[in-house]
Amino acid sequence: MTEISSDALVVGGGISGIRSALDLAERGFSITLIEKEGYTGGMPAKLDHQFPTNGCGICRMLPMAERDSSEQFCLRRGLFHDRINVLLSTTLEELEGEAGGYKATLKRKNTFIDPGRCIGCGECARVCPVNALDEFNAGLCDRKAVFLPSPHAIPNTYVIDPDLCNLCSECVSVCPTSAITLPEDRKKEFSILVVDDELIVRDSLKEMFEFEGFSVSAAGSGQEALDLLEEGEFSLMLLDIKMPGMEGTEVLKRAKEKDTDLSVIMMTAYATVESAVETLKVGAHEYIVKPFDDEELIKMVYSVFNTMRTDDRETVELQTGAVILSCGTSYYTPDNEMDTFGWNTYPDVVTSIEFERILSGTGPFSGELKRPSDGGKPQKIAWLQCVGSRNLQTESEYCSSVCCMYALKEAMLVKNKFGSDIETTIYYMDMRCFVKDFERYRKDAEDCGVILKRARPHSVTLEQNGSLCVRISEASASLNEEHFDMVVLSVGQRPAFQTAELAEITGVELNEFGFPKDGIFENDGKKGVFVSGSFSGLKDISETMLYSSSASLRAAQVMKLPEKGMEPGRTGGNGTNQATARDVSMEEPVTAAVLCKCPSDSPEKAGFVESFCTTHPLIDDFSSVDGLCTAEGWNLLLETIKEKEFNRVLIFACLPCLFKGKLAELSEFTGLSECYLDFVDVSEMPEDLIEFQINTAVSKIRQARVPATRAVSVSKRVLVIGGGIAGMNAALSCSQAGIETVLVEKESELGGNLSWLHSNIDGTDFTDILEATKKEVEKNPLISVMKDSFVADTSGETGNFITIVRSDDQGDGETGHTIRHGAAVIATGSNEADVEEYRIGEHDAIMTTREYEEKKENGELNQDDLKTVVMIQCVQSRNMDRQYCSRVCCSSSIKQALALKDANPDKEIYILYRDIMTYGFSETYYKQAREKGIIFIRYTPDRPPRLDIKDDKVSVTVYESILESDIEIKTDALILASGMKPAPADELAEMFNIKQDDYGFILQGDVKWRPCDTTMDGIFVCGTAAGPRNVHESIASAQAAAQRALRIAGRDTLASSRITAQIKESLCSLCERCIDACPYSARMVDYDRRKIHINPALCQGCGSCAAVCPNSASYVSNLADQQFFNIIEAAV
Amino acid sequence: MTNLLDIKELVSTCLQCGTCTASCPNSFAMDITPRKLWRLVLMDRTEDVFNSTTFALCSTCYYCTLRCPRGLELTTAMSMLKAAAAKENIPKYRVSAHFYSSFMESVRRHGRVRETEFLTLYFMAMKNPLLPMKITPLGIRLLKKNKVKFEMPSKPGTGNLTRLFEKVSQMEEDK
Repeated sequence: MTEISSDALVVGGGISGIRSALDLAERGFSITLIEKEGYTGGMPAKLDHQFPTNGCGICRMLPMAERDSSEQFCLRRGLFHDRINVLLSTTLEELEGEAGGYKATLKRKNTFIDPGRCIGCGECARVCPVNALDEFNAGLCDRKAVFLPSPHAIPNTYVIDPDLCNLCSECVSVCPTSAITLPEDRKKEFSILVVDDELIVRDSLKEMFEFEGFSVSAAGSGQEALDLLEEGEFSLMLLDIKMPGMEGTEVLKRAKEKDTDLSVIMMTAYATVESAVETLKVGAHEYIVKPFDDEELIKMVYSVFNTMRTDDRETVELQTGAVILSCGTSYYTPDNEMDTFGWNTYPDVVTSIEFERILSGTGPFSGELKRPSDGGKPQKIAWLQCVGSRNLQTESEYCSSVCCMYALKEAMLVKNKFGSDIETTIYYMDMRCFVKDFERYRKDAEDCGVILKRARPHSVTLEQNGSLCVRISEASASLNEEHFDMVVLSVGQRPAFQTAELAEITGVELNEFGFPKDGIFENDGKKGVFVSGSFSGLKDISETMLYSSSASLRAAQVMKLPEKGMEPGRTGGNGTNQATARDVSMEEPVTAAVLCKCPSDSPEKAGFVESFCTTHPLIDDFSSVDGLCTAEGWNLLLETIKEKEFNRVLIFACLPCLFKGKLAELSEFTGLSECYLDFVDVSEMPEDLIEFQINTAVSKIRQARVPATRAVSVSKRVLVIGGGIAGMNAALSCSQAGIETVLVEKESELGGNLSWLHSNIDGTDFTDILEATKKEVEKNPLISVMKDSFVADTSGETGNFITIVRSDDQGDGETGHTIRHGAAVIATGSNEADVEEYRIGEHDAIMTTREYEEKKENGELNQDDLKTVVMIQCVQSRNMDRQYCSRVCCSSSIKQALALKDANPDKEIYILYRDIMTYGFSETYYKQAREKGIIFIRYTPDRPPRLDIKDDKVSVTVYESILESDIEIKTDALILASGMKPAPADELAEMFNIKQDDYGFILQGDVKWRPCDTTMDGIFVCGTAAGPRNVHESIASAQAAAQRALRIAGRDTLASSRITAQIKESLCSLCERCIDACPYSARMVDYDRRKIHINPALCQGCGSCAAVCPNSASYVSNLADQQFFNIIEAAV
Repeated sequence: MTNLLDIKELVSTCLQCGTCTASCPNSFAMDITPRKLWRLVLMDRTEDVFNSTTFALCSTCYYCTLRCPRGLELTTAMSMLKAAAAKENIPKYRVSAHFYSSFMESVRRHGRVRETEFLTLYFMAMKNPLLPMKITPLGIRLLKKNKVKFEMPSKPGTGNLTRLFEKVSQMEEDK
């Protein structure tokens, strides 16, 4: 019997790992998150801007309920949560066991710098003589062998790269806190035996490796070598093959007999390469062909040396219930011989990742737009799409899904930030803006002057005058040569590094391109390893969020539900339990000030702070401590203040000290609530500003009051509205967590759109999935299904909603069912858009996609009668009324076309399209369709296909832009890809007080970072109610929404955070201004009691209400008016 | 008219992205672009395909094949079009067909090309008395530079490749 552990291991600390870990932590699980790099945040940590906001929104992943359990910090700086243990520079090496009980072996890289001592001053990097490419800046600039893994991480601890460090120990001597212990010089212990019959080779190799610091012996013949091996221990033998007397192969065999651990590198002339390859089978480590490059051999020797040393890593063992793999993706490097774009040859040809770093404020040019070659400002920039995507020559048959959007974003950023006079051109094949709001974003980009050209440049050449030239051919136009100052290659996605190794360790299946399968359809509940986020490939941030939450939900299903950590009061991280904290608000304030004497700061400044504090009337005590950010300094601080009498503490230190854990620890130690403690950063500040900072901080803590944290009890039930595949999956997911669920469906049958949609493009049969899901829902005792019902009314707030559900057969007088629930999931889905164009209804041969599917299913339409079929895409999508792409129609038309062709290859099938939106892996079906002879003809909105009905025969005329002529097709069937429109949800949205977009889809809390949230906490949205999605994505979003809902409905109480808004009822005039001002909908009017009600779980303490309140009735705890006036007074 | 099925199959996954057209060093001289040519092939517009001389101008540099994102063997497809046109005696392709066949005839006879014989054969096939006049200036220039040799007929049978040619045409028929 395996012991079930409630802990999960998350592998990969990018945004998907953070999302999965936060989801589980918010549900009470404890998580260990490991990251192979020295920083969390993954790729988005390198990006300053994301579309569609063109800003960074990574912090929107932070929990909104129970905020105090996690540090409210920028997530690019680091992840701090009570229940998440982050291990950096750590990888997964082995995994044993089964779902519920795994033993994981982790390898943690030694960084040789003690994080408890490092103060991040950077002296070490200043003196380090070794230069290496800076990976964080995509290799655009250099870093040292001792470096900061990310420019914004907290704490900013330096690390040493042991593979690069030459052990010169310059850094050790300058480190002010003696934090560096260099790796020991193990090279002397690593002895090399050089065996070659030529004296000159022998001697030069001996000299070379002795210079490198190894101990070297040499032998002139095979026999001599064997004798030496007999006498002493050797780690590595460099062995020549062709020698008189005994051949190298024979020496290898005998040596291996004696010592199997000996590593051998064979040296061979070109003539004996074959026998060298043979030697690999009998135990040689590697071979090198003479004449060789010294550097190459040195590299080989170091790689053997590095695998044999053990001081650079430590092994950690971990018991865990589930493993979530969230290793993200890597990006294509265009250095293949098939890449003719000149990357790495012309400095001004950069990849999109490099360009992001150029635009970044922490990048090589500090956010200035510069050409890498000469530092000049480029006036003309081109983006080339599909580099390493949709290209068989680079082994990527798929579309990478994200590049069109990031290219648009980068072009727009250039225009907006660096001047609209800069010319930006994007060369594309199909502009794939397939997500709801992206089509509009594309239009915005075009409006602001970004030029889009449908052409595929074949190469980039450098002209005499230094400009970069691309030669292109647009559809009908003749050849054009265009010149640019800079070219950005929109590189596609590749599987994350070491995906294959991880798959081997964890048993995760890979697809044909080497990406792991996400297991949404194949989930058998037995495996405890889950693929999260973009690790399964080709996802943007929003989808990464969905698939990460979905993976974390499935992971939670194999773990035992945690009991600890869910009870009230454990709001985590508050250090001292607020109940036991000393209330000192009534005591006379006695303020102690402590200055951290930073070695990187000037002594004059320390002197100034000291003299200012000692003479300050409100500061009663002053002391100073060395290096607070080191463990030693911190202990010294605790000791210093222990002996003193005080009830307020002010600490002057810089940023790395400020993070959560420290304040909590101090609060625990002193028994004072955190509101009486404060950090002030006085580094790099002029003196008057320091005075200002100290004055305001003193005023703030003098008048602080311990805020009351309140807990809201929760109705542990989830209401799911809509019984389609998304709704059913959401209900099932909630019930599997042991939470009662009510599923409301307006029709008499569950199933939604799957009642007419029977399969998807990859052949997954939905009939079986639907039947299985329906059966499971109906037999589940925790799910009550209410068919023919609708939501009549609702009230309440997150954690406690009261909703009335009525059924159609009830009369008006009856009241309906009252349901108390903690959260709601809206899965009202979508319908086929109404088609009016293309003379629909005038002829039987003209039908919509849904009509076609239905007619085919019920036998009204005989497939054999259809000799010619025409499909028109974008019929009710991407037009003036519906500016969005419906996302599924291209795949579904290709699916039908392929089915028709499979039935009879002689059928003529035409698909008239605008941009084929076969994003991700479905691109392979587009290729298949072309292969099978389906004719694709592109049309533009200003020249749509025309229809003619003559002699009861439908014919379509379309302008073919490549042939530059009209083509008339007489067709037996005209199928209109009609697109999606949201199911009517206006009333529902109004009742739940959530917003909808212009088209009637439910508005997401944040399209990128919180795609399942609505504008109101506690109400979640999944499936196509939020925008077009296919079935696979809908199910993932349902699981994600369930996971979000379970954070609330899965617990007994919801705790508020320390800082929330409160109201003085005696002053309140019920003007309701604060209700409109609250961005989190945390307030409402209680008309019965004539007062404003604040939901403490929803309130984020932003203070908007306090600012608009005309009577000062509304205030934020710990920032009351009087307190603030004092702060202002101190400041001026 | 020749069935283009084989060629169609070869280029079936063409996306009409235009990489071939932009890559082609001879596209300036072509009456239709390579992209349009493939489109015509895919749409079964055989007549239009053979009305064009685009494929005759392909100099088999292989740029398009190397750069095609779909990895299509476009140079091979061009050669197949040339072969089909020669076989069908397409009027527009007559010049090229005679040129190639005269060249090959010379090779068949001697195992290498003999310029004078090759041109004689070509002029005879073209049956146009003005044609030799047209290229006379070029001929004179080449003669001056000693680029054209008047050779005596070699011994009969030396380097003769008739058997090889017969075998190849046999193999082509069998296929």
